[in-house]
Amino acid sequence: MAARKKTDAPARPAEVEAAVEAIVTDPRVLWCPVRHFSPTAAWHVRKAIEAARPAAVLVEGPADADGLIRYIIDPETQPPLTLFSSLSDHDNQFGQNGVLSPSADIAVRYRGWWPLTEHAPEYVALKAGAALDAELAFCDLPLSETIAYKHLASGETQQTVDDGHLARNRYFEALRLAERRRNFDEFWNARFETEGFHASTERYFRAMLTFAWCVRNSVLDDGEAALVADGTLQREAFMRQRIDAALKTHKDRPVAVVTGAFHTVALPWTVPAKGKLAKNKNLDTMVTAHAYTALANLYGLNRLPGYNHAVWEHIEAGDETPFSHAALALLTEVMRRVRAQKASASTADAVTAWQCAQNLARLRGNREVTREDLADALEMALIKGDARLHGGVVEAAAREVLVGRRVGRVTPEAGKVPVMRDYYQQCKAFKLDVSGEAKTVRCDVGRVEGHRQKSAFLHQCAFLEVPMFTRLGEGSPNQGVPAGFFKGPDFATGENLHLLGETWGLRWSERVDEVLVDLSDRGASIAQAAAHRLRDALAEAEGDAAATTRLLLKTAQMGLVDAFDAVLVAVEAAIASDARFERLAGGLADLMLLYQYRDTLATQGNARLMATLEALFQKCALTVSGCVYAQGDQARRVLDGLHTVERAALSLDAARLDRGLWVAQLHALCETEDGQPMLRGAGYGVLFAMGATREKVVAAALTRYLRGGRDEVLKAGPFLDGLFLSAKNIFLGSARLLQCVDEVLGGLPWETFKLLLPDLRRAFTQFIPSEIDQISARVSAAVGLDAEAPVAAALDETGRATLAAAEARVAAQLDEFLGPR
Amino acid sequence: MSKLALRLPAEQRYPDEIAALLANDRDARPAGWRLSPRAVETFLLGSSGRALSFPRDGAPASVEISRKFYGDDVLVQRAIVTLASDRGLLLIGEPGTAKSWLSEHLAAAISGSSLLTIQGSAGVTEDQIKYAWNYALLLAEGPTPRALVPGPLYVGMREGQIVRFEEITRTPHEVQDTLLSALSDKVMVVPELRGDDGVVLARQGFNIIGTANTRDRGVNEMSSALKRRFNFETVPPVEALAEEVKIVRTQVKHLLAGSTAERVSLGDDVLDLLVTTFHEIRSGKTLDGVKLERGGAVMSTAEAVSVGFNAALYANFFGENVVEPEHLVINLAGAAVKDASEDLKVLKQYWDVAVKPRATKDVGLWKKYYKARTFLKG
Repeated sequence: MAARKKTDAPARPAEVEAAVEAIVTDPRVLWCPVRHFSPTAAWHVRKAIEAARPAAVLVEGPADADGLIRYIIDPETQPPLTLFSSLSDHDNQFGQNGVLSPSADIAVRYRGWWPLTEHAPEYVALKAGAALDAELAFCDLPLSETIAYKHLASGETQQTVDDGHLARNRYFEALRLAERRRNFDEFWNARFETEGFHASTERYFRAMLTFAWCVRNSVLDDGEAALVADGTLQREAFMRQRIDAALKTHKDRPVAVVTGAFHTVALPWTVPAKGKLAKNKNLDTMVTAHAYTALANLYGLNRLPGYNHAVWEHIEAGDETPFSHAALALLTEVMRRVRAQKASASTADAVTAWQCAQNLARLRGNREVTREDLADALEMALIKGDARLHGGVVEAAAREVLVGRRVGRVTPEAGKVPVMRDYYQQCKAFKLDVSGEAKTVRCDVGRVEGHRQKSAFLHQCAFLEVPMFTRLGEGSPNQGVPAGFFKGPDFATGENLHLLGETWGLRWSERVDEVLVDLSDRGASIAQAAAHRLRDALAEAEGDAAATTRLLLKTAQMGLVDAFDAVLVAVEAAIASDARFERLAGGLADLMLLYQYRDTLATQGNARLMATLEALFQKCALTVSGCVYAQGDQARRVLDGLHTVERAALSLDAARLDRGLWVAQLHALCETEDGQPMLRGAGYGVLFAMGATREKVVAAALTRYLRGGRDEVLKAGPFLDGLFLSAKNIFLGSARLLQCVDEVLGGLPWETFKLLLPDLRRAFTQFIPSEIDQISARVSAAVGLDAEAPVAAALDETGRATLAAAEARVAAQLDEFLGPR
Repeated sequence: MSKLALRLPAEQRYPDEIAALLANDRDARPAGWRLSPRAVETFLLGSSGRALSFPRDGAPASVEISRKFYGDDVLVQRAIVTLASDRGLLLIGEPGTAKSWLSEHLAAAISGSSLLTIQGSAGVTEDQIKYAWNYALLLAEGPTPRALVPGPLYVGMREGQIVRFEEITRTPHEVQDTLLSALSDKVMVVPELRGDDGVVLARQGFNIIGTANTRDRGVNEMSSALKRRFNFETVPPVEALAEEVKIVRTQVKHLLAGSTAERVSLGDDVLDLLVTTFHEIRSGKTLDGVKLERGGAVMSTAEAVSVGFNAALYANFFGENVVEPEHLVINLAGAAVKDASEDLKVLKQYWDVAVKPRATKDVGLWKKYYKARTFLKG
């Protein structure tokens, strides 16, 4: 078909008819126009192939997967399946490394899926062809040849089949509005699916070709640019080449070609591509099992494979009204599920729903009850209220039934991809259930070597987000176990470090295989895949000491001993480049855990760990003085960092920790008089705890606040806050400091004291009641009061009057302070 | 009925269309229905420019069926199918989303009458729904069919017609439950009468269309027994601006027809101001995505129609027969400010956040619109 110019008149009926006639009467090629996953198209394609008995059957799919067809049609193989292609662009052929991947040295992974279901015309065609001993082949470009169009144009790294131009064009839009259909699916289900089932195969193909021809003309009204940009013309040229090759091989018998209808109307006139395709060494295509839930997610939930499957089963059973009967069966199933959720769904509701479905079909001119009639009827009959608010249970049940839960199986002849093989071998070795039942698994990592390996495997799977976990308590009789799928020493958060063992909640799901297939080009084992992902994560965390050390911790948890050194190198690089104290201190906390639990985490042999620790400690020391002006949340994080470094300085048995540098830098922070008072107080606290300062220095700093102007006095509260957070014992043990505070507070004007009071109160909440008692006893002693003696001796009349007047004055002052109620 | 009526019911506003549909209706009709479901659908959604011929006073005539409901076509299909089932239809949604409009037109098309209507309120009693008595006759003759004053539900069941129950959830529980036996057993018992007179069996064609306002929370909730006897359909606000413009234009034109303001000019640009204002305040953001405060007022399409109509009257009575932006603003406060002065603040904020920038760029009539903000008094 020659390219149409925009000035051409729209396709006239005679032209369309002539083109369709030419296609259906082609003596050499049985052209089978289809829509992907259409049961009616599959049924007609099978009938056509059985009648024509072609020598070859060519099907739309990646040509590099020809060798996998024998596994697809194997009797032990059960759809849903998918052809899965992946290309890791190690050579940066497409120039997107560092753009679509975290860094220039990480290859972008491009991926493509060609799902096949029992009711897919392509699958049915291969099976029909196999029954006739026909040559079977795929005729579309492989993934490596479509990346430039499909992936780069959209900036996405994955693609799959879709309706493409068939659904997005002006011709169809006009048709849809005239028919009052909501979308392409509704139109298709009414006009081609249900109506088409009741037509002869020839009439069905003619109708499909006519529709596709008009669609194609509508698209070409805007020129060919769109078809070039998305690779359609290039794909069709290649398809034509494959068709010509088959025709050359089979001169005496017809060849069947099963492609999307949009291509079928062009292929008879397409000029074939020239030359052979070069093999791409980075391209890998495999056939794996798939699941209906995954299929629905791939397309969005407009594709409902469970529904199509039900229709197909009825077609295969010879049902004369398969759509309506399938709809009725599915309606009953939805009702059952709604009832299982304790929602109302009576038999009367079911009767009403079915009545409505049939009447909707009649009103809309549908030959049978369609999927849309069914969905509408369920909403009408079951949802009592605003569907947006009350429709959750019904919609969820309907979606579950119409999507279905079928999981495919590939013949063992095909072999599993290595990472999948490794996964199941490890599950078997560690006795991990893969039946889908919820189970609780314990790993005694402190004592049993085998459990440590099991723990490492589970941590690797969690890191790779393999969907095999479930909330704890689901599989355990102990309902007191907290939510989350893991309970145990969490080195990432520092929680539960006292626990010796780990408890995991496991539940294998059918999505596991899909995820494993997706990981298949990341390594031949779970450990390799985890190491690969670790590399990506490191690239993203570059320059962040906290994030990279967290990954180091995860590396240890995952038992990836071989990767440990490489991650440590990344940590060291991050330490060198990161200048933020809080992040460096966060990294130090993780490294300390790693060092502290090196036996459990199997890093005890790593000599570089201590050197890295020391380097990090030094970097923390060098950057701490720059934090003296931090405010708000950042100040809090710096405070946490100070305590972390203090802990390191005091607890690590390392001669080479430059404590002197830390002390000197901390002094510099504390002596910055206009610095953040809480941080200065905390700094003094840390220095005191390390024996690097004396009370009189701390007292002097506090005194300078309290004897300054109003604004300076107000800083005393935060100063004490920081001091108590870091070293409460300074106050508990230091008579001198206590005296100093008492003297200055006593000399403050009442107004200033009132303003300082809330901050002082807050600072003293750091102490527990017994510590407060201790302080008050010391204060009592300091002011000459005996804690045991009664405060008030016997008073004469003058004394009582004085006391009463003082009390009244205090009450009046407090009233004034509190203000009107 | 009198041509001086303030508002004719749907079946009297479109007599030609109904006659044309009757004349061309070849599809099967549910028992008791005047038109087939497909013809009812056409009455509501229009004939897409196609004219239908029919005899008028013995001479051939033709008429295009106008679209009466703008929104979700599927909603109309589902409503029609429900009314052909044994369940009632309950239309729920925000105020001003055309629930009553749809109810009226469905009843007009199906039964030929939209007047069997019960207006729900806290004061509605059972006798206003079912039947009452002519007390003079009752005292004179005792309970006889002659003394019985049939209510809308009685008539609907007896004649096999659609009964409309507006604001059903505003009616007390015990009164709502009057509908239970009508909807489930399709029977009404009149205990005061004997024999066949004491039992009204609903004729085919009888059904109930209820409407309920989702904004009125705290109003009597329906019992689950009654809910089960209805299919619920949610009527959403109009999403597409272009669609809303069409609705407002058509409705204002209808309201002005026959009045002194019939020839008032309501330009597209003025209409655009009006509808955009309502659309943006209702959705809580401008078309450019800038967030707006939302007040308590509904700002529905019906309110927009009301403002357009009032502005046209104002232009006719006090202006030059051309609706200007200031006419819209003068009448806007009444529609947008319902419950509290907060609503006025919302309106003023809208002027600052949405209208002013457009006025600054001198886009269309926005400058005049912005200047008219002085009419937003508060």
